[in-house]
Amino acid sequence: MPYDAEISRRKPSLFVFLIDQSRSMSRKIAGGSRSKSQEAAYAINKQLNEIISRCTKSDGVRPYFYVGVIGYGIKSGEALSLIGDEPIPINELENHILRMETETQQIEDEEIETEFPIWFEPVAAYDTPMTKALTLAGEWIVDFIGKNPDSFPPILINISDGGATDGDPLVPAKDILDLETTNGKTLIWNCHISEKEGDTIKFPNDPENVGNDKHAVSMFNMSSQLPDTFIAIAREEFTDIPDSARAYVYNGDLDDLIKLLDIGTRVAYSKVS
Amino acid sequence: MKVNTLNFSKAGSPQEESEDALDFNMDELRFSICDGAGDSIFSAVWAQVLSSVYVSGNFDLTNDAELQDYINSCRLRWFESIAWDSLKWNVKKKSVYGSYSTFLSATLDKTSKKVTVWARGDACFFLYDEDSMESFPITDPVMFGLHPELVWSGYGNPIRDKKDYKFPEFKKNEFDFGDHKGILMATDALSKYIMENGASSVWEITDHYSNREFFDELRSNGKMRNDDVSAIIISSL
Repeated sequence: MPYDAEISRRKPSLFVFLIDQSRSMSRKIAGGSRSKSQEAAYAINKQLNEIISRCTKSDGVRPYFYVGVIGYGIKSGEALSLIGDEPIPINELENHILRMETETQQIEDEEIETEFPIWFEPVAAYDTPMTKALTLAGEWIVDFIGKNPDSFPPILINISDGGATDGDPLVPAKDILDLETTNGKTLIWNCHISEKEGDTIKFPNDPENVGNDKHAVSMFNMSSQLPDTFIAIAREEFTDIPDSARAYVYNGDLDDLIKLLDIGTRVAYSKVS
Repeated sequence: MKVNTLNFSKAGSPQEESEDALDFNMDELRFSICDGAGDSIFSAVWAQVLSSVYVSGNFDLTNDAELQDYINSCRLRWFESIAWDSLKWNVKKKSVYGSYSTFLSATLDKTSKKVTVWARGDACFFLYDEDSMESFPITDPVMFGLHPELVWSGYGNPIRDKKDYKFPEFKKNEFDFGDHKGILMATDALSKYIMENGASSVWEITDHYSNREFFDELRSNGKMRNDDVSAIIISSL
């Protein structure tokens, strides 16, 4: 499968982000000073900014992508769409901005102030209904592929500290991994963040190599094998990416999280026509 | 001498979204075609400025002073054409990085029958006959890549005036056009198509230069990459 379809307004693609909002996300991320929920919210806000930037032309934002975001754990046992009821075209995302922040941007030796929209605040509330979140994402993807059968395949990115509390997430994940357009299978990327100090495991190709976290093998198994085009980009950012690597990072810090989001989305950007 | 032009946006996109630009000056026989980069913002404006300023002036791009004069004139016109204060947050954030475009020009001298060609990037010049052609700066379709050399506008607001600017280098070539049927200048997707399909495709293009449907069909059926296409066709040399 080539993953080379043109992405345009006539043939948009889909990003679905899943954010773990369970209580355990309130703990500090390994190697960092902020909580996992803070880092996850920052990374998603930053990535949505990036997608908008990629789609921004002088006349505004063009709907090359649909975007859906699901939070799970904000209420007990519930997985909810955090933007509207279903994925929306990227140009409608600005209608859902919570507030604007000012950030300093460094360009060469100049510092300039720019506005940075915030869509999501950090949340760390209840349990971890990841299975429900994946089931909802699967429904969205089925619907999207039904309407866009020849599109660049949907990409789902899940940020979690693991440990579903509502059954086996591998079941809906496998259903999603089987969903395909004429241009390839849907891709699932998992960023498994942790409060445990230890090595980061990036894009492994063997479940034996994912460390001793009890949820790591499950997260590995629900991650796509990286297509060649994505492997090439992953190797620009990380050394020692093996062949047949899975779209899975365990125990990453914020930098790893942002890189994973970037690698997971950059191939799609390059197909925008 | 007869000149025809075409400039069609991507198949499926409205014409006003084309980021290609072209211009010519029949008095001075200067022609230019530029392909604004889709990754950057206000690229169509930049491409148009590069073309228009070139054909209205008399710039020798191997001369440092004239090159700087040309680029600085383009940068100023580009900068002044954008209403920076009224931009939305996302447009403002992206536009500070400036705009990019390829550049191709041809200046004909009727007395010597020579044409001087300047190029940066992958827009191509073709000198063609009934069944043969030569091209510049690209001579083989495999040489078209994702990242052609580009001309940069410099930064946008608010840091435009605070940066040193590295002036671009242009490739130069000269051709005798006296015994040839025509000249065609085209942006990358069309240039690649012509190289892949040989000299006969030039005649195909010249026959259909005003027919958008012809180009839409080529792009929709995958024979040509779905990109903006533009060309200047100079015949009856």
